[in-house]
Amino acid sequence: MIEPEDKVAAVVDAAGGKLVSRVRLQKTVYLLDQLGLGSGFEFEYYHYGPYSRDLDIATGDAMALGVVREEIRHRASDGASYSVFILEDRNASKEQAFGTLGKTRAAELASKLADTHVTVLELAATVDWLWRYEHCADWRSEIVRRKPMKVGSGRLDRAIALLNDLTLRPSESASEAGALAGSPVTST
Amino acid sequence: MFERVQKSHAAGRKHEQWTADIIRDEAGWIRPLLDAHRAGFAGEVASLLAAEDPTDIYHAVVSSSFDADRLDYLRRDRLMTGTGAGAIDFDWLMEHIRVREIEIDAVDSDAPGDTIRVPTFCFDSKALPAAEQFLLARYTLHEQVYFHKATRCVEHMIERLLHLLAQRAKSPDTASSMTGLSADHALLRFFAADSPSVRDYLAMDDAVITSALGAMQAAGDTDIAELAKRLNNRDLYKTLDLRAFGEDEGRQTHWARRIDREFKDKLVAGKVIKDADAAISIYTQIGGDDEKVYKKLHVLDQAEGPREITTLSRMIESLRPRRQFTRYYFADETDRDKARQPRGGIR
Repeated sequence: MIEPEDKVAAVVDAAGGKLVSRVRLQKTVYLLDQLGLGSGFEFEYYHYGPYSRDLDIATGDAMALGVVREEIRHRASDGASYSVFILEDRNASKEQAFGTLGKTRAAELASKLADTHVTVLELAATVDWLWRYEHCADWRSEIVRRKPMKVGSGRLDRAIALLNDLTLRPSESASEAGALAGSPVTST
Repeated sequence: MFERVQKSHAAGRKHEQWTADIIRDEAGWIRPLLDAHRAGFAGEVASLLAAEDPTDIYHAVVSSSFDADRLDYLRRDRLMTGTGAGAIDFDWLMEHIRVREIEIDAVDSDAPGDTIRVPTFCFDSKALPAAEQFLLARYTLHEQVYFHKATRCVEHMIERLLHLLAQRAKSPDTASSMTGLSADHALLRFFAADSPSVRDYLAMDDAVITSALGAMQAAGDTDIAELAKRLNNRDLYKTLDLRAFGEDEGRQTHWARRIDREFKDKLVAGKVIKDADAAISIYTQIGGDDEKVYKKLHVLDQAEGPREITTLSRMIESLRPRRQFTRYYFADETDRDKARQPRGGIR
């Protein structure tokens, strides 16, 4: 049986056994879900884009049960702390926890996401959320309205390029956004 | 709580959006006051409240480590609950508040490349002890007031009651008889609407819900009637806090899974309520993502500029790890007693 912490372990494993920051973990699982991870976690819109309290609880469980270890580090520029999640035993992750993606494909994708600037990742997940779940055909205007400071310096273009690269091209058509839109609600 | 009920009934809007709508409302009394100051000013204020991220220092008054909301509730809730804990040195903090730019990106590794900086409030180093006290006050109020088991239990019972009301409100022919409320009651009007108006929203407050408890005891829906009666008589559900099984979080997780399994049907029926959303750290909000960078508290280091306070204060750093308060609330006390019986390998 696959428990929620097994999904967390699978994603950290796919990222190379180490995944940096809670925001990156959230956006990675969200984007991998759109590609077939099938985490079963329910997402909602929060201040860094799609966020899952289920995933947050599963991460806590993974740490409580000794599956994943959390290390705290500090950003050099201002000392702000962030988490690094480290898989305790890389041989322990379960193949079924990678969903239809499979371990090899999950690792390719997670590696790409691990190398992406965290704000670009936030923007990519938010664009996907806007058209897919909020049925927002004009997601470009909407994300500029919601995150005016973050979309500058070519970051939005990089986010869209990332989505294209992941084969998650955002829909610019209202009918497609409505037709493909589904509920982000799934239960574990 | 109210936002969660709205969200599950397809009328989900955040309180910031409602506030912006109230300010923009042409029939309201706020808009003329603001527009009398300068044409279009109400719209600017509303946009500021609805914005996710800051673009200027005015946003910090609404949303930052030292915003007006925090300064209000920390002092008001302490006064109104009568707790002796959680005092802050307001005047000293105000004296030493400064404006500096900080990075707005989510905190992650130090990736090469551009950074975005926005102005926000931070404190002169002389205010470090007062800043520690300020964060400690917020922590203490969460621990002793907002996350008190009775507070959380009542909130969850009311949330369950509102869920049931919202379901019944969607059937206008039976809404009144099944809830005990008059057909034009503010609660039914709000939950019946697909897109509730600002008027419907403003008609909802604590007094409306409290005063409706009497009528709801005559509801045709027995779950509504029972919850209303229990809330009215302060006959609260019985609490089981997972910390009763020890502080080891792995052990708590095993117990939670056993309770989830054994009481699966009653959890679905609302006869047992699980509360996994109360977690506390020096910054964390209830069930939230990483706190926004500009809501973390920065203190000026003379050599390095604004530094996040956990790097300067060992006391605050020690309170950074999140503590989880997972609780179950049981309608039936014998179920609570059964749930905490050691059995099946978990003791």
